[in-house]
Amino acid sequence: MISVTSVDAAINTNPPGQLAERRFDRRSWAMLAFAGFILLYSLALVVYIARLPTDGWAFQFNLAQPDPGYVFTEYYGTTPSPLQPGDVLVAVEGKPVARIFAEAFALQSPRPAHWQVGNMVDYTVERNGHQLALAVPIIRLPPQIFWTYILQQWGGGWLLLMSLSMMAIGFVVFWQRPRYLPAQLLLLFSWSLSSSQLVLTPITLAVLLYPPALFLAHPPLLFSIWQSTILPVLVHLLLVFPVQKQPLRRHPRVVLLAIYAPTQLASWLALALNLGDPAAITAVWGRVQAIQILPAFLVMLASVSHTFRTVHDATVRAQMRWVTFGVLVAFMGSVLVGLLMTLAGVSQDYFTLLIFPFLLLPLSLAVAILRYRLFDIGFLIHRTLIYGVVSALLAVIYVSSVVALQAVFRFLTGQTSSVAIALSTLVIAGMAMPLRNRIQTAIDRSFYRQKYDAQQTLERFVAGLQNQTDLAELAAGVRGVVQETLQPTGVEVWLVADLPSLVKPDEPSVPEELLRLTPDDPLVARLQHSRGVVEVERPAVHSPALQAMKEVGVVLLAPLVNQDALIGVITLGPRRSEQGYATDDRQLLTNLATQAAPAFQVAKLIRQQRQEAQQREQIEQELLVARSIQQTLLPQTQPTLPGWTIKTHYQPARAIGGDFYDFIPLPDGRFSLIIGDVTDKGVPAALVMAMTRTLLREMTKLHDTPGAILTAVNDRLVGDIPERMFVTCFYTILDPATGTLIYANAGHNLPYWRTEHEVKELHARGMPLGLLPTMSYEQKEMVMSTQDAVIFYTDGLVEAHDSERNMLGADKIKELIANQHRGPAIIRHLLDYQAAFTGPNQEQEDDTTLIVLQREKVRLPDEDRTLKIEGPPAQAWQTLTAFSLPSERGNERTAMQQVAAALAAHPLPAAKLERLQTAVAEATMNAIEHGNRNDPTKPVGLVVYANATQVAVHITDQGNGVPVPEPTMPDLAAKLAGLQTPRGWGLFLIQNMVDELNVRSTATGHTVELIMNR
Amino acid sequence: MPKATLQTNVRMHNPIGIIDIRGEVNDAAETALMNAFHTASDNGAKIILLNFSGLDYMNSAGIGLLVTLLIRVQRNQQQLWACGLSAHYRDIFVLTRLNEAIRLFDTEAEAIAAQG
Repeated sequence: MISVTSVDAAINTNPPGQLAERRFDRRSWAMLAFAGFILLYSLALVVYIARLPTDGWAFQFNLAQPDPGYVFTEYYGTTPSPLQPGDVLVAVEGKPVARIFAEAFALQSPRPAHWQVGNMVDYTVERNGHQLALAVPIIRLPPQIFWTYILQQWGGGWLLLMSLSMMAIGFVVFWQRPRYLPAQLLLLFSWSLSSSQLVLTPITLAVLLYPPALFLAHPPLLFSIWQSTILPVLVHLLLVFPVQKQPLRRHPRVVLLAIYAPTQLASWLALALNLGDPAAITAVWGRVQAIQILPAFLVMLASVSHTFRTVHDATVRAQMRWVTFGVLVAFMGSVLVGLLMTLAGVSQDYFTLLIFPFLLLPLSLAVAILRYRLFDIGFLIHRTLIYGVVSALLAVIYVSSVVALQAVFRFLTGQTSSVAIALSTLVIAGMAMPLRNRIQTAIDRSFYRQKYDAQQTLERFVAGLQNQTDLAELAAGVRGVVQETLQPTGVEVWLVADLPSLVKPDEPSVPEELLRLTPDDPLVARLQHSRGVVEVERPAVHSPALQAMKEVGVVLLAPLVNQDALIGVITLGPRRSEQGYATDDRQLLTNLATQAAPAFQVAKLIRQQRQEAQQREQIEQELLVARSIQQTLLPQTQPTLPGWTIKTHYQPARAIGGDFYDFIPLPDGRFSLIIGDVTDKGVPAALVMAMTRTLLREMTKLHDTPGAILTAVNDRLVGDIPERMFVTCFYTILDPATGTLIYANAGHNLPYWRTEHEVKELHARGMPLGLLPTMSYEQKEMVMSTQDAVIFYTDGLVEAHDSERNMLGADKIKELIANQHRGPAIIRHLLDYQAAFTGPNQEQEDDTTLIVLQREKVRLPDEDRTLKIEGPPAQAWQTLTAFSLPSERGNERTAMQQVAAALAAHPLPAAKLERLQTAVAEATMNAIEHGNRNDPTKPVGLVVYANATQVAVHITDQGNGVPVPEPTMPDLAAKLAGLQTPRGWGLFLIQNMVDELNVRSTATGHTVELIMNR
Repeated sequence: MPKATLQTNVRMHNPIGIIDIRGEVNDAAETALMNAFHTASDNGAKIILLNFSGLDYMNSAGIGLLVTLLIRVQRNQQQLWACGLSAHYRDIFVLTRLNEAIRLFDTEAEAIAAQG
């Protein structure tokens, strides 16, 4: 099918592009000149003939008279002539008629020497059985006498009109497509045919008006021109239009010779061979004419039928129908007319009728070349026939009515009166005209007008299709057109949504159960491959869908197929009238479906895009919802635990992931820290996260250990979590007092534990939550020393990619953590590295969550703590000095000096001594300012101890019950930004200057213990 | 208020205003330090260089004072530099991250060279 289409495209000679332009090239001019020459030559001939001297009488050959039976019929001159109608010519100037003819045929002029205008010539005629000698005047008829005569003849006017119309048609087509070969050939053909008619008619008449031999010298040339420019041109035309035939493409010269040469050869050969025998020449011409008609007709027929069989292009086929129509009517018509006339014994005067059907040939060719879409040819033929029959019937009724009425009239009045005839005619005419109109209207209504209108409606609808992009409106339009043109009881448009579902485009959410079309239903293949209408009553395939449709009253089914894809179907119920659907109706429906299918496809795509856009908008909305769910469920602030620093960082990705973390204070002073990640993204992940968070909180109330809590959460989650979703989670319980960390892991990224010397992972085995029921989780325990940190994170950090899709990876994170010295700053450090790694403009792929838990050096008491040196110092400790200072500013410097002096015998390295001195000064200042409130009567007590490895200093104030201020982590950036007071560095300095800091609060005051390793 | 134990001296080395610190930087040092700062600023100093080579003692209150000075310097679109710190106080500057906001030099000559 596809290959045939492409072949069509290759040989289709319909003028594409420039050939269709109205511009002349050299060949156009040559063709026009040649056609003009033929016409002018013919006209010149006519004029020449018209100017010949004549006796002014028309004549007939009367077969009843002796040879040649030359009988005068009518006089056209104005000068009186002695001849009378019915006179039979016997001799001119004594030369018998037979001899005149013989000489004329022998190309010897039989004209008498004084055959000139104004002279008299002696005619011998036979009148009423007697021979008479008459002197006949030779005159010159005015040229218009030809036309007068022609128009007087029966059919002569028609012939003229036809010839002129033919010329006009040929010229108009040529004018529209001057460079298009078929148009050029049509010009040649129509002008040649017309001028032959224009000339042959006068010649025929001239033969009747003049002694024929006078101008016999001219026709051979003329005939040979016509012989090459009428039938051969027509054959040529049909070989190149609408598609060029292969032989002509392969061997153009051979074929053209075969078309044009034989007639030329035959006519010239005949002329040459029979030069002395004009009669024979004429006979040979006649035979050549007759002989060429049959092969020409056969060649044309073969060409047309071959084109019909091989070409499937709709345009070409429509053109072919016009051509066929023209050829058939021309040839068959003239044959038929000739046959009828012969049978009826009609006078040869009327043989001009034979040429009539040929008028339709140029006309149909013109339509085929220029405007083949103007009329539906089948419709035209049909209508012509019907109206012809109706008109004939009406004519018979009319005539017989007139005759009958006149008979009645005559019977009543007993006379024949022209008034009566006129009256009765008027009466009948008055009755017949409305009748005829009625019948015509009825016919129109019931058959043709509607169909014609249907075509028009369809075409209008199809023309507007491109602008119709709304699916529902399109479907409504199609239903409207079908209702209007085919008048079914019901019509529906179904679109293939996702087989077996068929949906109505106006209510796409309601799939119709009655019309299910499973993909393996043979109907699907049938609809895809044959575009034609399916009649449910006569299914070509066994189809359950068709059976179902039949049950709901569907009669016709037209597929909407675009590019071999089934888009939908149009279903029709039975006709509103009892009539069934005719072939034309099915054709109309097929056309409609074929033309509407691409529009449906486009509209469908547009609707899809709109829906997708809406969905995208909805998703954006959902993301906002998901984000707000997630944000509200995450802890809004970080917990403050004395001696501990907790820093979090949470950065959701655009398409919300399911990261979460939580801090839950426990009744026993311990504290839960949870981090987790829900697989999947968006709202489902956010909801699962919310559910998991709630479960974790609930189970934390019911169970004591991370393992038990995870097991309980898992058991509850398994039933509720959507398929293919699960949750990873790392559960930690911290005892802030001891630094003990108990943890269990449900498939989460392993946190890093950074000690002073190394970074290690917190391993614990366990499956993610929500995958399998009854899981147990390994539980482990470790103790964090001061300055230790644990870094919890989610895979958004580990699985960040750079532009080459390399993953950041856990090893790199471990390395980064090991290199970063200070605890909480690790977050900034890691994120900076991540940002540099992924590069700019990279959208964040997943949520990134980071939590750093750091044990600070200082543990400040909210309860009594034991000092390292309590009561009388243990054996190893030696008291170096004990002294007290009044609470006055500046005394801290004294304390520094005294401590240094006490340590003179137990020296510390200089740097350590300086640090210890700074710590002593700060602690003393604190005791003076905060503990003793600058009250000089309250002393600050200092004791310096030493053992083999350490030095210790106790600083005691009298701040009874006054709490030691909460340690805040001083942050320079915050201070510079005005968020913290510029001061407040004291405690920070102390804890960073010494190796250990202990504080004991009692009812009487506080003791700060500073320990420095040697 | 305890007696001020800080002595300052301002030397201009445009655009550097050099403030010699002699004695103790504690909460009693505020007046002296801020006066010196204003003197240097009035003389068009774009950079305030604190020369700590005469520093005896600095405590947490002194650190707070430096933070206050830093805030003012930054507000004036000036820079705060320091030189002549002992190793111990240099450590404290690092610990408190003051070294990230105050540019440190070993000697005054180095600081002046860095400006040139």
